[in-house]
Amino acid sequence: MNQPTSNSELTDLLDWECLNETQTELSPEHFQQAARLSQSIHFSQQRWEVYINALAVLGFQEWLKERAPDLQLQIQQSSIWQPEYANLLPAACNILVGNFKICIITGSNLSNEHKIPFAVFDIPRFTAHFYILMQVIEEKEQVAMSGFISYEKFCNYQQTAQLPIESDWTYSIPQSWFNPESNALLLNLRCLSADAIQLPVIKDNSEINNKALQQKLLTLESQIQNQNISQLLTVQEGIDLLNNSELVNWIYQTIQPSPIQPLINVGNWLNNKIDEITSELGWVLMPSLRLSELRSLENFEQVRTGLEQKGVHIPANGKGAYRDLECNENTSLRLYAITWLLNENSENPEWVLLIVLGSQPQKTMPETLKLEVRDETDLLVEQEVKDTTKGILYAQVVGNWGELFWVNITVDEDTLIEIPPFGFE
Amino acid sequence: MIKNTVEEQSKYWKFVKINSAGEVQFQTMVAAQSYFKQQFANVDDNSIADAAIVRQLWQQVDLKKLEPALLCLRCYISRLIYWVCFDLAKNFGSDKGFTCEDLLPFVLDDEVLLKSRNSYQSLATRIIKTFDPEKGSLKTWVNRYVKQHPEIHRFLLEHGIFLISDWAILNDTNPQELQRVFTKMYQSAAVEIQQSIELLISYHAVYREDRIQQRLKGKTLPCKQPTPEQLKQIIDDFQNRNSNPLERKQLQLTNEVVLNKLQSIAAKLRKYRIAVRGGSISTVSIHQPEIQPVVEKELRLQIDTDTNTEQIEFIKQYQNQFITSLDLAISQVIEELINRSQRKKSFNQQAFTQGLELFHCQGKSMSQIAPEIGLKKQYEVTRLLKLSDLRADIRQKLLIILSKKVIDIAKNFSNTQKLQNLDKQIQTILDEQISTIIQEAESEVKNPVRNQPLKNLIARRICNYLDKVKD
Repeated sequence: MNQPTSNSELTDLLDWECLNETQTELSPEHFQQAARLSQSIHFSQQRWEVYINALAVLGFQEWLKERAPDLQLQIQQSSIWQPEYANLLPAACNILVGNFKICIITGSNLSNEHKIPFAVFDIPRFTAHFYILMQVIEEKEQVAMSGFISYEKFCNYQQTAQLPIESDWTYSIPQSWFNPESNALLLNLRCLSADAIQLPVIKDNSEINNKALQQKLLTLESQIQNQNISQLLTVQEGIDLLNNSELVNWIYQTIQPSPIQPLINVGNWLNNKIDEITSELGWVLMPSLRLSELRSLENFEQVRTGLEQKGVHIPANGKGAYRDLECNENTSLRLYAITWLLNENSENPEWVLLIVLGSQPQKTMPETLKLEVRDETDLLVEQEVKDTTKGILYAQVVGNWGELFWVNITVDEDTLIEIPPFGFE
Repeated sequence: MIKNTVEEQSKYWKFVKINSAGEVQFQTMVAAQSYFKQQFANVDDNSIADAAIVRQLWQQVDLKKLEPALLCLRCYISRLIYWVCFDLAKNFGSDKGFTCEDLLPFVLDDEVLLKSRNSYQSLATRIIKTFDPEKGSLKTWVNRYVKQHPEIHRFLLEHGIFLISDWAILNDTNPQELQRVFTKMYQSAAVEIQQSIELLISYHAVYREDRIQQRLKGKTLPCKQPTPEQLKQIIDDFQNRNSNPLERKQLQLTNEVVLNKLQSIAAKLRKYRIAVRGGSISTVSIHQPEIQPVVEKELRLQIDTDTNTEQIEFIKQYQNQFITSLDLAISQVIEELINRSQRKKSFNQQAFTQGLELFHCQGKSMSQIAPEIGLKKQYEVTRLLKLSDLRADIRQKLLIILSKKVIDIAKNFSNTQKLQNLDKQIQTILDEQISTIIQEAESEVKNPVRNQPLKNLIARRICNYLDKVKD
């Protein structure tokens, strides 16, 4: 009786999960490497999958180094490290072991059916002699090889099973298709001749005319940001896309999130307010710009006079702020931004942004300066002075509500100062 | 209801402990026994459930004194701890190479005979201190403590066994998978599925991203329950993407609601994971019946070719090359293995070769070998020698060597199936006793009756190699 017969109700044994003998522990460096890669993936849903897949690759490398150091593994050229491709395809294609091409895929920990991107089987440039299915237990920092399948075997199975390509561009492949014996994989990698498994020929796709696809992608540009690409294109279009590195790059650039930048809201200034972000950036609100009150502001009189000479008049209701910029060891700048409203009472009021560069009290300005103002798409103003003692540098633009302007200053032709965008909200 | 016979009641006065030899002992605590009999004398032996006994004992416990009621509980707790470990070992131990006795020292650390009170708190004391019969049975309580014990965790993880948190399960699951599981296994309503998917997406947007950020900083943490700040972000994300104001009102999302909802999604997914594992690895998803025949056909094919193997024929044909190539493969593989293992601090070359020798030349078991090479447990020997990997490496090296000498063999290298069959043939040859075919002088060596050298070919050639190295 001292030996219990069954206490399964006691232990909930079912909660426990197991890894096989290929279990390999990952190091913090592996995690950092995978996490760094994931930061360059712009599709947010895909980011985690790429992170997990990168962990699988690093774990496989660790395992192979330990178990079969006689085999030469090359992972550097794999598609997973190329963000443009990983962004669309969370699988590590084009890894080499000796003369074999292998592809490392990550399966589901949830079920014994694994969603594998169809492209790794159906697009010749991504196919591999062997597909290695890795299990990644991120929380426990463990990976294990849960099976492998050769290209030839996949084709055999697929001929009968006719698995469909699902709406998310994957095949759902059952675990049973994969050979779980790690030693059987080593047998193949060590002994099999490289020509034993015939891979489809990689065609030169440069001749193919992708005009139509290109057009379609352009019309979808805004949706690509938020929607999964597999919901926007057909499978055939997906194949054409993945075969065309230019389009793959274009997508990657298109969905690149514009870095979140603090906005300098000049609208507040007109109400004599300055928000926290703006003052944190070093902006100081100027007193009223009425002539009588301007005495208190050193140096600005000179700026104003310079502007008047150029025919630029600051109206009495204008409001401004300035920010001091250090250019290099000896020189510095004071950047003025002044705003006022146009057609205040019309249906479409507009706002003026006047940017002026002046000197800080008792300080020297750089010798040459270039000032650029851009909106979202175009360069609007480009002004340059070669000798700042002889002229004033300014730019004036007019915008609608919600429109943003970016200001760049180039000092002595080599130092670029980027100012967070101005807006009126 | 679970009934208690006298025999079963002894768990309230027999204390489970590990003796100095590492064996489990059941020690009768007389004080506990007489107290128990007196307390429960009026109750029919067969009619009282553990829950009632525990409740009564617990009500009488004074933690400051070592009195009989507490002693009874500690006996019972020691038994429960033993059972949890016993079950773990029964289910995973043989496969992963550990026993109940390997687990017990981590958790069976109560020492009832200690008179003086020191600051050390045994697991049992901690369990009694926190136990609340209103919240669950003592069984559940003990189970939870043992399962969450860090040393047990570490030990089991080293053996490839682990528990996964709700938060890791949610990280693991993609919206499409959730949809499939909720539809197929739970037949959930479409509205509920859609809501769960949206919540999972928001969870991913916040929790996965934060997890990656932690990893970027080099942190290694288990997946913890989302913080109130994270829950708030999840709610914000959810509401931003589901901006139907009517729905928003209905949902009344508070941190608590979202936490509960996420936990209930995780619980369902966990159940599904368990159900899936319930089947053997080779089971095919019931949702794709068309796959089964494919796999079966493939398996049949393999078996057919297996039965057709004619290993005797094979070995006769290549006899000359075979043994010399095998010996070469053995020496190369073992030497390479020793060379690369020497980089590791933990590797003891002498223990390794001695272990190989004891196993192959003297036919000793892993547990017999352990003390002889300075190891404690059988699984430590298994891990040191890694015999199945060693054999696979030798076979594969042998194939490479043979292929250079025999064209017929090399032909098989251009076809995965043929290569696999060839490997199997060689495995059979190596694993079988075929001394009649290959005459070897050393087979006459006399040995002790009990521990005979292994008869199979690979063991004998490994043994032969080790003998030569020794000289």
